[in-house]
Amino acid sequence: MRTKFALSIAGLLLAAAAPVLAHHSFSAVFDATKKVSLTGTVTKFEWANPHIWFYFDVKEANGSVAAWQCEGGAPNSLVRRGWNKNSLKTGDVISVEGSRAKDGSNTCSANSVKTSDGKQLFSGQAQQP
Amino acid sequence: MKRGHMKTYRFVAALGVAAATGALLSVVAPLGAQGRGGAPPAVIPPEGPAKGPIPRLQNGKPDFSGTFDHPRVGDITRPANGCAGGSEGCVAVTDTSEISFTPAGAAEQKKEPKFDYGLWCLPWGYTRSTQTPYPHGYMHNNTHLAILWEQDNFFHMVPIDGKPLPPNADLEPTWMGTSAGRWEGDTLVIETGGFHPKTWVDSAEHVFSDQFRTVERLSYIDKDHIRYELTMTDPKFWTKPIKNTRIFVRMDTPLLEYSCEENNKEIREGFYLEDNPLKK
Repeated sequence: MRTKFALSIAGLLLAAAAPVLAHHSFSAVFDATKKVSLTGTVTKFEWANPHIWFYFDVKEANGSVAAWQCEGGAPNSLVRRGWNKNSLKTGDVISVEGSRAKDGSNTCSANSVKTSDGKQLFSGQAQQP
Repeated sequence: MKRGHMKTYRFVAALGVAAATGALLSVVAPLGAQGRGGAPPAVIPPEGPAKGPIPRLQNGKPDFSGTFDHPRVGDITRPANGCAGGSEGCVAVTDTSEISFTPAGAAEQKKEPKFDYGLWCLPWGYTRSTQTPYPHGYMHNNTHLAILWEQDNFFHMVPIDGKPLPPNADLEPTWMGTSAGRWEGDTLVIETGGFHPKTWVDSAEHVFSDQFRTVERLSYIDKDHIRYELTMTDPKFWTKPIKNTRIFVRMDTPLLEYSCEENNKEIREGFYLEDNPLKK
């Protein structure tokens, strides 16, 4: 399992498009050009407003473990996208696609989450337009 | 909502129904699929008589009561397709691709950093609240329209008595402004002013002044689609009005609970702050 960062044209376009989240300005917290692709084991899941948060441990290439936290949409939005309070459980192995926090911490805004059994969940983090 | 995601939802939902597997459905069947939209029209039709029967109030005027999905409009200078709540058929078009600012407006728009009031759970403001990732609804009777936004579970009352809206100088400045409603045939016209300029027009952080006013025109295209026309004027900051036209789609789902304060980690843990304790 490893962490990948990618600077892409798509990311640049998203940044220019002033992407937005449910209650705060996306660009104030996250950098849409710093894409992250993470796989790890869930340690905690907070099904709460205004964003869900899930915490997971990512094993780095050197064997060390990095603790990450990522936010998704609000429960009202996620219910309409197929999530519920049981969507993630401690111990689940998940793959997350998202954008890293500007402050450089192991924090991300998740665009999608895939569980080890193949369920594809979505964060509702619409980077609009 | 991302269109790619929508395609996946439709595919997975169809698969779930075919398989009749309740467990799978409970995970993948989005409530938003219960919207009544159908394929969006190629263009938003001009204001005119509704197709077929529509809900009506006791006084015979259109009744807009219900839950409606709207397009997610993050920037009033960009078009949008797709519905915030997962329905189909929402559309937004704009007559302005770039705002023409007055010198005062340009100066204000350039100021950085802007205070992200939404982060602190303050009201999103009138225009922005109907552009959020969440649907909105209406409760309507002969005398009032209550606008119910799922965003922050906020509301706004529009009296429909035909009285003109006083000039901004005579209105108490508020987050959501003061509205006056009147009928023009089957079109409900809502004029709103008296905003304090603490919010943004949209999530692209477009600012406005104390002279900002809006005129909204709501009319039914058919019983499940509302044509929504929003004209915004700000002679202090903008050299000309901006018009957005949108389609809202009736949903079969209720509005849901939302709380900005509950687990607001950005505030509590200070992601914005230079001394963020999580910073490496």
